[in-house]
Amino acid sequence: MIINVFDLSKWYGQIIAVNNLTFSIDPGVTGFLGPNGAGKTTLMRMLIGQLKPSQGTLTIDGEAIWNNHTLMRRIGYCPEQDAFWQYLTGLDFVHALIQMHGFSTEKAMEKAVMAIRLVDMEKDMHRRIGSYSKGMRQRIKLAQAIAHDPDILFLDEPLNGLDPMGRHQIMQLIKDLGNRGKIVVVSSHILHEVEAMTDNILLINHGRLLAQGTIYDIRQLIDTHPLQVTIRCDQVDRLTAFLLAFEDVLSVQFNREKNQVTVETNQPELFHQRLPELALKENLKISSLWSPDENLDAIFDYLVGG
Amino acid sequence: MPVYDQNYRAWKGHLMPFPRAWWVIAKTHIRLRWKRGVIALLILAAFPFLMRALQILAVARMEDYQFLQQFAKNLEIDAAFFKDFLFGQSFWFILMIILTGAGIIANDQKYKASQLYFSKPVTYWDYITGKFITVSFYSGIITFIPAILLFFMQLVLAENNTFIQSFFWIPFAIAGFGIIALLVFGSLILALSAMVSGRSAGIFFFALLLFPDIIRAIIPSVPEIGLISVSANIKQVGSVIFGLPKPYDYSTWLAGIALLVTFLICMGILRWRVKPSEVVT
Amino acid sequence: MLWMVLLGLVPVFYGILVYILKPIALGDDFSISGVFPKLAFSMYLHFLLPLMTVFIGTSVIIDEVESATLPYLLVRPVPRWKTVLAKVLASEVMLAIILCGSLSVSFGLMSLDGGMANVCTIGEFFTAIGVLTAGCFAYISLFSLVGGSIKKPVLTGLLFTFGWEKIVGSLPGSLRFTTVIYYLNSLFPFKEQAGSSNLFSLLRATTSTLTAWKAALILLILMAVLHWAAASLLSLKEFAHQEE
Repeated sequence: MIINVFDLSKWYGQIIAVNNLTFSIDPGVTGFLGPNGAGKTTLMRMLIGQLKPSQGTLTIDGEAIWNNHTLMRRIGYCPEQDAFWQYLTGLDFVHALIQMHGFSTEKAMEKAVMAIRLVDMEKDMHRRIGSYSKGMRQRIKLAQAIAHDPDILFLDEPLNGLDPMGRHQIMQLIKDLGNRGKIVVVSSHILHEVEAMTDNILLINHGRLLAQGTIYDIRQLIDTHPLQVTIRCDQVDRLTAFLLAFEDVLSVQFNREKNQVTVETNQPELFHQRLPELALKENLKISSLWSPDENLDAIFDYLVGG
Repeated sequence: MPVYDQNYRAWKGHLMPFPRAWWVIAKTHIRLRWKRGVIALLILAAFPFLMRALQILAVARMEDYQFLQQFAKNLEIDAAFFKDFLFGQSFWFILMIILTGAGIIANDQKYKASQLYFSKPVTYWDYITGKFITVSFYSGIITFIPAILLFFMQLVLAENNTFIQSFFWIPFAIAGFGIIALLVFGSLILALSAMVSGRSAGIFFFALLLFPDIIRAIIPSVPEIGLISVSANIKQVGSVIFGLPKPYDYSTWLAGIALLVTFLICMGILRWRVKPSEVVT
Repeated sequence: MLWMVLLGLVPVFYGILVYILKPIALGDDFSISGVFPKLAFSMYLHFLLPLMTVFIGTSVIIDEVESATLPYLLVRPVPRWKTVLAKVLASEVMLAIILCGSLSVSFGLMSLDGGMANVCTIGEFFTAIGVLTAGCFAYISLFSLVGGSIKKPVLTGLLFTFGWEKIVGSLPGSLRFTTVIYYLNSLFPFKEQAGSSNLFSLLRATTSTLTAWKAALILLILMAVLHWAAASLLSLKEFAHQEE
């Protein structure tokens, strides 16, 4: 199962919302990231067949998505907008939408209740959606997206309005869905939450694809930005003196209080090779080692912040 | 260090003593409604005004237009001229009211902007006044302002003082009629906008104007049926304001009371429906 | 929905009003049952039908787009044209039930004054029901097309029904064939009264209409074309909620 996008563009008059995207999405959780106006929502809408591409192709297992209702059997979509038929109860809402998939009334009810249970809304499913809080509405939206057990899920800001417990629950649910071999595409602004759900990201800005892959792979590719490495050591002053001798080390920040030093290196692989050798040779006890900018926030800043 | 030391300061200046929230609301909405549809309607509604202006010019220069002399009586500039102009603009007036007023409160409720309004030092009356001025502004531009302009045009072109001596009260009649019409129709569209969606408000406004006229046509033998028609009552009161015979065979006082009742009902509906937020249980 | 039902019941309230007014102002000679044909023609066919179909027809798709609930319907394994057609047909049936129900109640109410035979024949009554239903189907499919394609659909719809159709539908010549009301007028069992003082009413009363079978056939073709157009054109459109 695979989503293939080739040379995809979408424009509205003079405005190019999505510009020449080419990528593919495999089973698992993939994060769509980008600032506001990047084109994520337009891309998402093309992926669910709501918008027709101006140029390029967009296929799921070789089948074009636009105006292809048979593919919709395999797709679940949780929109970002807080939009409902407010007079329906949560159960009626999910049930009615599931019935459109061709399930019998009883089967649809069974699936609706199961999905509502999964998102922890069983207690309130007989209340009108108009009386729900934002978090409850978000859960019900998610329930209608997963109730028919789709192979492919598009979730636009699925954690919006949820409390911390709810976020944790739903993130776990999303990870489980990804582990079960489904394609789960999550579009979000909350970088650390996307990071918690997946390593695989697609970074978009100004309608263009900036990067695709795991966070680590992308970081490796950003050779214009030196990697920061923070080391905590018992003999931090000696370590610092040795590190200064490395020609790939561009800068050093020394903190005696915390017994740590932060270096910037433009050859991270070489640095990571040399550091253990140095520690062994000079008998330095390194208690911890981490990279403050080998995370999504930093990558986002580098690539998007310019 | 306290936050305020780090460049944050509460403003210690004076707030405007004169309450201006209604003016800010009105100004903003007037600007927002300046769109293609409204501009097109303004242009179309200007044609009757131009025709009437030409009529005034023709009458003033009757000696230059010999062929018109046979129609001199019909072209006379008197109270009926201004009344007919105002009544003739009713179609554009209604369209403009619908175009500018149908969604004016409905959209605030739909997009939950009411919460934003009332979280500021904006009172209910500021809100309603601001909305009302918006609707009145555009409707007034195509009716009462041109009528006043026509009056002054006639004043300027008149050869003698006969016109001003006989019809000095016309601007007051135009203003008075204008206030009554704008209050009634304005409150009606605002009340409908507060009750239903923007699109529905336009439809219901149209229905409320047309439906009683249809009933009057079905039972013509009961002239008092006209009391349920807002437009009939307006015409009744308007004709009397301009010192002309009333068009319908029922009391003008009753027509005035019916308009007052309509206005009060609409204000009651607005009081009921305009709230910062709605609680759904 | 409640508003629609109330609007549809307005003629019934009017009928009650007539009963109240009869002893006070109308006199014993006034025939309440005689009001029904005028009510059916002026109120139902020429006022409620165009007004309510403009409102409901233009809202069929646009309401879903504006409230951003359309994606829920389109991301389902149902062909788009079926979704659109189902919504259009549901609206038509709903409005037909409201209007025909209201007409039946008015008929029943007015029959209280002298019996059903005094109001109209059963054939005329059911013909009126049929024409109103056909009108619902024709107008709603037309206005759903308008609603999905034009920026100010309600205004356009009102100008069409209360402007173009009112004027052109009454005039002799071939322009009236471009209106729906001309065919409905031809089929409707109750006609305009010739004594009316309104110019367009006079024209309607005196201008010839098509034969019933011709009008029915053209109306059927028109309904089929409009439904096909609404289903296929709207299914090819991109409807994306525009964030303001």
